[in-house]
Amino acid sequence: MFGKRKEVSCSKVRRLLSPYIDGRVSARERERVEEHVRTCVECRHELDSLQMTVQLLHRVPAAPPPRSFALAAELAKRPVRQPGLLWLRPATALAVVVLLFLFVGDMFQVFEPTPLPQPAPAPAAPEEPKFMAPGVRDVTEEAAPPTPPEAAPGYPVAPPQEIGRPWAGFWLHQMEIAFAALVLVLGSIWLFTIRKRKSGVTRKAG
Amino acid sequence: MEDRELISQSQAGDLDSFNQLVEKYQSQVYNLALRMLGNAEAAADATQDTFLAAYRAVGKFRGGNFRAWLLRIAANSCRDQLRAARRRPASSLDLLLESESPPPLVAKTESPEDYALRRELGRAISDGLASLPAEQRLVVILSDIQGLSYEDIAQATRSSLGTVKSRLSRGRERLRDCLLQQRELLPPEFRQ
Repeated sequence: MFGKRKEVSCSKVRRLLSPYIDGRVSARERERVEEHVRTCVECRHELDSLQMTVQLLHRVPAAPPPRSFALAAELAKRPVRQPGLLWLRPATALAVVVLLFLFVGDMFQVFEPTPLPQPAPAPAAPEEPKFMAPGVRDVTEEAAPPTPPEAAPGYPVAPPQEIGRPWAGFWLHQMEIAFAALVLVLGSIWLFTIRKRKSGVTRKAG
Repeated sequence: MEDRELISQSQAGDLDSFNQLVEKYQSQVYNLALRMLGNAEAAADATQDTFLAAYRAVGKFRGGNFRAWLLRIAANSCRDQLRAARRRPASSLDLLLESESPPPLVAKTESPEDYALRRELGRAISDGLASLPAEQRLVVILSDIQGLSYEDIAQATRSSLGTVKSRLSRGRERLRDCLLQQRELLPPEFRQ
């Protein structure tokens, strides 16, 4: 039981040894470390060996720089943005805007062709009043069911949107794909150049 | 001239003022790079990159500890060098971290045997540092060789004080284990 308690105590104290060497522990922690290492040989040895390591590192001398690293005027010129890539950002933004426009337009069917004006059905001939005796059914009405008004003679039966420009939907989707690909390519180039620039200068400066 | 003045003149584009800062800090930057990379040529490249990046970014420096800011750029340059070496054939990272001629530890008067021993110890320390993970190595160098405070190390490594403490603690322990494996190289006072 005591062995386990001692182990816990040792591991807690060992975590404090490095900051203890630097004087970065509280007064209470310092007291705990000093009290512990007075009785625990292993932790005393741990502290001594860490102190030795730190002392040896303190003795490492500075190597003289091989040359001056002062910047020459030509070297210090601030980098000019490559003119070839100046168009990249506006071009990407434009492609994104067009793509959004196409998507939103497609979603709300803005580009759906308006159906061609359909000629009003010919006014039906005025129905002559039929005079029938009460209780006699009109057999002509039963034999010929009423034709739907869409199937007016001379016009095909098709949804009205495909009547005017059936190619519009096809080209819209083609354009969406093309602009999505364009955005992907331009965006990748842009991200790549930003990353490259950052790894060169900005990232170093953090 | 005070750092603050030199910095504000550098921010206005005065290269001479910036070069005075370079002269003042180049030894620390070079030694950090040398200890991080273990190779004089790579350390010189990283040092030059550091000052170039610092000059281009000095306009963004918003006060605080200039040395810690500069050492942060230096640490990033070293990471770039290590990353580039990792991308090259496998041996180049070992070559980079293989110390060529570690500066011997300081001693005034000594025999040739002691000098040789001291050189060996310097090499053992360099090898021990090279065996640490880069982030632990950076913190150990900044603390125990360059003498930065925990706060400055936290700024230079962009990490919390807790992270600095734990990296330093683990780095020292690993380095201690490396050195104890070569106990015969240690100065007599450390051999018990």
